[in-house]
Amino acid sequence: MALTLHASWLQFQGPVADGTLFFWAETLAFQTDALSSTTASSLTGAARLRGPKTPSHPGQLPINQLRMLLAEQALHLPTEDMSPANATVWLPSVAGMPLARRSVVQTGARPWAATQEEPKLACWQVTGLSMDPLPAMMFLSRLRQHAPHTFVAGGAERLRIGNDLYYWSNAAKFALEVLIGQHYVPTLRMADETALYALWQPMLLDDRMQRRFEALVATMPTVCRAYNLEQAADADSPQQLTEHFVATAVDAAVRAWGNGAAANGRNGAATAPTLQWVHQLHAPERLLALSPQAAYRLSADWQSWIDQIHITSDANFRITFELVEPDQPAQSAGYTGALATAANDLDETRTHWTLRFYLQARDDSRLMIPAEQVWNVHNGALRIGARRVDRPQERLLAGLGAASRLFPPIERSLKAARPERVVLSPGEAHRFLRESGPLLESNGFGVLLPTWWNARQRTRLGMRLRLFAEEDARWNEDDDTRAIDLPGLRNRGGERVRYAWELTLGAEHISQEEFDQLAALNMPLFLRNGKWIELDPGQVAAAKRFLADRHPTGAMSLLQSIRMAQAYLERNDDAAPFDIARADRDADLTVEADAGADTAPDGALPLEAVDVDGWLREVLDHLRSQKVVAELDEPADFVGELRPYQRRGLGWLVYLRRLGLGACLADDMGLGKTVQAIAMLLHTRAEEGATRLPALLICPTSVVANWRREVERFAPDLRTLVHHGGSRMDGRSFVDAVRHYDLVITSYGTARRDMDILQQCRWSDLILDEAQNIKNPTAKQSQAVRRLQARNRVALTGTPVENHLTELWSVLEFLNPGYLGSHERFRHQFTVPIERYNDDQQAAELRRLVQPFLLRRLKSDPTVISDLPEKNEMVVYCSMTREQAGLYEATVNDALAALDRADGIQRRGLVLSLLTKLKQVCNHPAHFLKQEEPLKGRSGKLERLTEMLEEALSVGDHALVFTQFVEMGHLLQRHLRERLQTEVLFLHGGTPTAQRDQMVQAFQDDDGPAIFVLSLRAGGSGLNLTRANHVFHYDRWWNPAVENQATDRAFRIGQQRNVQVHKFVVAGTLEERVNDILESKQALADSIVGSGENWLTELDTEQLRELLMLRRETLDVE
Amino acid sequence: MTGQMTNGAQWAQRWQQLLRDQGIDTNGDPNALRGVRVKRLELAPGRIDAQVQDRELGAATVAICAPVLSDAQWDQVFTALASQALFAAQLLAGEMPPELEQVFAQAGAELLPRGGVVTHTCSVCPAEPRPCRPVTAVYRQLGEMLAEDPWLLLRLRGRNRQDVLAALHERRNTAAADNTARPLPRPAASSGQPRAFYTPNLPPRTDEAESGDPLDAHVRDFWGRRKVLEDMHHHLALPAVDLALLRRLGPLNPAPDGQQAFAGLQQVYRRVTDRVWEMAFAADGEEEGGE
Repeated sequence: MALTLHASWLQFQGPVADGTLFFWAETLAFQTDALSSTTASSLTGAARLRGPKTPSHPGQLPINQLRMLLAEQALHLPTEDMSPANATVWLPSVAGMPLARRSVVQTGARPWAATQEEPKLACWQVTGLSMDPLPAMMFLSRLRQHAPHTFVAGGAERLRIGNDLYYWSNAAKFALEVLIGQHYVPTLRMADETALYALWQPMLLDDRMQRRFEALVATMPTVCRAYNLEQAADADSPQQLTEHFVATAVDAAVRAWGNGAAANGRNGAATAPTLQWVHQLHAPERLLALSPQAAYRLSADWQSWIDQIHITSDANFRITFELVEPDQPAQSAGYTGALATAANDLDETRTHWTLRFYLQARDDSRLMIPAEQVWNVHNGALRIGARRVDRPQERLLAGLGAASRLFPPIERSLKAARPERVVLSPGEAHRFLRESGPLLESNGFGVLLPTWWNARQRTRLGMRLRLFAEEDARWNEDDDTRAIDLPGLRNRGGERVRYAWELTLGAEHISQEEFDQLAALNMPLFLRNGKWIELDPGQVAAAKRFLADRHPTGAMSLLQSIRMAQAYLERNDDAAPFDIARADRDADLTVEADAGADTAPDGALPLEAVDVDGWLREVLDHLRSQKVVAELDEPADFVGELRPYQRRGLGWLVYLRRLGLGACLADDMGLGKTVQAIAMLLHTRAEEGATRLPALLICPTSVVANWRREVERFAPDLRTLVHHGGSRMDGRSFVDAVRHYDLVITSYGTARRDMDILQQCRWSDLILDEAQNIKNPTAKQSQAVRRLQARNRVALTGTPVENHLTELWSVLEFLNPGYLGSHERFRHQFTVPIERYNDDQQAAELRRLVQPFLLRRLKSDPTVISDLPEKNEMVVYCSMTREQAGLYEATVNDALAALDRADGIQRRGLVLSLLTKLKQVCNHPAHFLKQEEPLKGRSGKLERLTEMLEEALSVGDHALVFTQFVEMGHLLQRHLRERLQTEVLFLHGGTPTAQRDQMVQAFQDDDGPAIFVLSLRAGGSGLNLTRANHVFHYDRWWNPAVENQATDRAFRIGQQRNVQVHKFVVAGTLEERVNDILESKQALADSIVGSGENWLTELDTEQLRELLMLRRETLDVE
Repeated sequence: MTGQMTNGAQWAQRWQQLLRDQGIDTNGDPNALRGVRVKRLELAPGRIDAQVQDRELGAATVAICAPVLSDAQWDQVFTALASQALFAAQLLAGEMPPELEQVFAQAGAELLPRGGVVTHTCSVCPAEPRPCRPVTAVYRQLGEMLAEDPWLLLRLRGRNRQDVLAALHERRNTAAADNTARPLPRPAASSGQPRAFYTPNLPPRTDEAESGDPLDAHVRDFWGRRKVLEDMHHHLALPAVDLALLRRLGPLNPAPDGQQAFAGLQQVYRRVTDRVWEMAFAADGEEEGGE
């Protein structure tokens, strides 16, 4: 049963904002059942809705079940804080039934279409659980932004997060921004003549916050507003409702968390009114106990206090200050290095900075009215176009009065009758730039600073890091990667990049002597070569410390230098404003990381630039733009052909390998990661010659067979040992044997068990396939794998690791230890901001860091799609479990014995029945034994299918799964639904036509289920399922024509993308051998093999034995 | 520069000093005024009328008169005030600058009525220069009111706040043809349900925003779209300027309790930012991908 969890903010009536978050769950199934049984009563439905009693929503989950559901781990809902509650909600309804939030019926066949009846709003009663504002905000703000849309709750029930809940989660995260950013004020509310309440209210003085709030409000799903209304027309606006929620949450949070231990004990009533107000701002009780007189005085005090905010701005205009630098001197003596004379040049005219006053339109920042003009307004209002400012002079004056408190020099201008500007000394100008400007800005004033101040490389004191490679490392300019020879870079982790810290002023390096002279000047702002330079006293002090404490040169690893370069090398996003605070923080961090020195945060030197010289520069350029890396041809021993994007992938892998850097190849499923890895192994084998060590490949058990087959096919010369299964070699003999091989393939499970053996060997390359297997950083498996010794490390994965940050960290930690820092720091810096808050700044930052080591091509990439055939068919080799192997052999032996005693029609029947049984065993022991349970871990094929579908779902792909057995279809549907937590459709011969159409519609729908299981017979023809981009043939018909026809379901006119066709074959069984026959005789298939499987019945018993017998030697039994 | 309300206290002190100069000590013996209560006090230009209840003397009517400044005197005061924008700015910001007294003096006028020109009468006491208990109580009450609203002083001298601001506006625009004074717009009284956010000075919301769009216009996309919800980004950042708002507003009043309250509010802001920051990044066990 599929459930949608709804949440809604219910407002309480009352003098101050208060409310509750109301949860209820809706089953999606009711519609189908209910509709079929109630269509007859639909005529009376409309009348019933208008009845005196609001009808109960037919699809709601009872409270006790809801409570159990919410107590499940996945949601972390504090159910003990929740109490039962009722609400009414207006929902689109048709035929006397509310439409389900989302269901096959709704998104598919649209039942009302037939009756011409449009859905109308009707009121429904729902019962659920409610939660207080504070726990509600905490719960909501912890929902992950890209949470899996569903959770598996108790049993087989799947809980989907409703869009309404999602919206309130975003609103709660906005409330956190309000709280952290201090965008709220303490207020008083007079409810009637006597009652006075102490409240905290959000206040969005900051334009950015205001815009963010508007953006949030614009996304509110309509259903959020449909609760507890007498009439649908009474609904609040999205803004009102959101404000109410955010205000309530903010008040509750400040009340709860602003409370110090000291405030608790004091009795509010005994103290002065102001203190009582502050006390009630802490306390649960908001009402003040004051005499009318005291209440009046307090509210008057408060009003004039808070009114100061009003002064600076209104909805249309605000007061803006523009800092103008002194006129450039006519004869630019400037700073020429003769610093002794510089002080003398600072004559009056050139040191006078000016702060000009304006009224500025809020919605059009270009519209600025200078103060001069304001003073010339003679009647009450100023008009510009459609905008109107009432009493602009008073507004400007009042604003200047308020601003003068934040920046006292403004007061000087107020000595004049009509102030237009104030002249500032360099010290004052500097203070305005550094402190007062931002302070005024955060108080609602506009501030315009000279452009050079915000320029990316502001002209100020800073540090520069120069990176260059040691002399013996040479970069061959030739673009052929074969020519790369970097002897200095061979050893992993060695410190081979030289670095030098330098002091800079603007873009220029300055020597210690120059710096000392400048520092002696003691001028915070001065002209140098016609440019304004900031010399912040705090930074001068920091620079002195820096010079005193640090050895300015040293060596770091290539990895460290890449990290520095990715963090600071000129960024591509030129448009983004330079964030001073951020840069200062980073610089601080850098210095810290560099020497462990504790630098005072307020005196930090910004890191202005990372300069990279020589070939290192080219290396970084190559890494940063993966396109530059050269394509490599197929190695000599490679059998087959690489597609162009695969040759680029090979070039990239080899390139990183030469640099001693670990690489993560994360191409989409079906693009041939395996082939690229095999090509890389051949390439390095050819290159390293006799000195080579074997490579180790670790992959999931389910793909061991596939790897073996792929290596046999593309690199038959590669001496390969599969170290897996019960008959594998033990310690000593393994270590001895290994040197005779080029490649050892093993599974994660075996690797874990044999870790001490594997650790005794040295490997040339360590490749992890499906590297998400080490996603848990603390798991033993991940840690053990990291300890293996290898010259080169490669991770292959088809899931978008960049979206699963813990996994990403773990994989990068395997590839390039230390690059992303400790897991704890990574979690704080990236995982939480990105996964919980969808923080795009941090996401961009992380992409920059990871990008040199991650190559991910999508099927849809233009460069890839042109290289791919429309229909990309591949055979997927699966292994068997021990149980399957046992059943298979027993079945073959029994049947062959029986065959010897039979002939004619009877023999024919026996053969066909045997074939069916063997296919069933290959599919799943439960299929063969006609069992329902358990399904997990018993079939190699099913495990592989599950993994591949998981990967497909993770990138939003859609898949058709064909089987020729209806029973297997049922098993698949149930298993996939449970394991993948998603809706799975199943269509077979018994499906009624109407339902069949609905399913097809649903699958084709944008928001529909992503997996469609079809029986080959029922789904083989007449359907149009072009939304699928994967087709899986779970078992084989042995008739290419039938399979092709099925494949073509996904492949009709209008199909825009490539389709990947995966044909499942269990290695070592008849499936593989029949497949080989078909593959080798593809052209003749129709004539020789005929249609269907009858040709098999013509074989004699020996031929059959040959065909059916289990090939133990190729079997990778766990 | 200190906070805005400090000058209310300054003016109250000036008032008390003035009374002391006349031998009236409103802050003297606390018992002296026990049992006296000012029931009603009206302040008009040049005159204060009050009803006082005295335990011993019974109900008394008190009148205090201080002559208003002449129009000519006010004219000179306004001209002097208009010469510096500072005064208008401070007056508009709700302050009554201490320099005001000097400006009045330069214009040949007095803001605080000098001793001798103020007369008082009490309905139950004989007229004598030394004020009786009811009159003293009224003086004290007036002192408290001035601390609250120093503008009362100007009113006593013949002009209220609007008059002063309008006159200053007029002076700035002497050349203007249209110099009719208008009252300053007051913030619109909140009508109906108050806004949940604190939104100073915004025009009342339009009907369009008030009623929102009707629910039934959205039947087709009643549940909203997942994509737009997923595309919301949140960037949790510590404030660019710590305590910006409090720094601007200053303490609510200059008295010790105002300072104490201010310190309390500062603590609240800091604590909340710290706590929320901590909470916002706390682990919830989910990121570990535990399954």
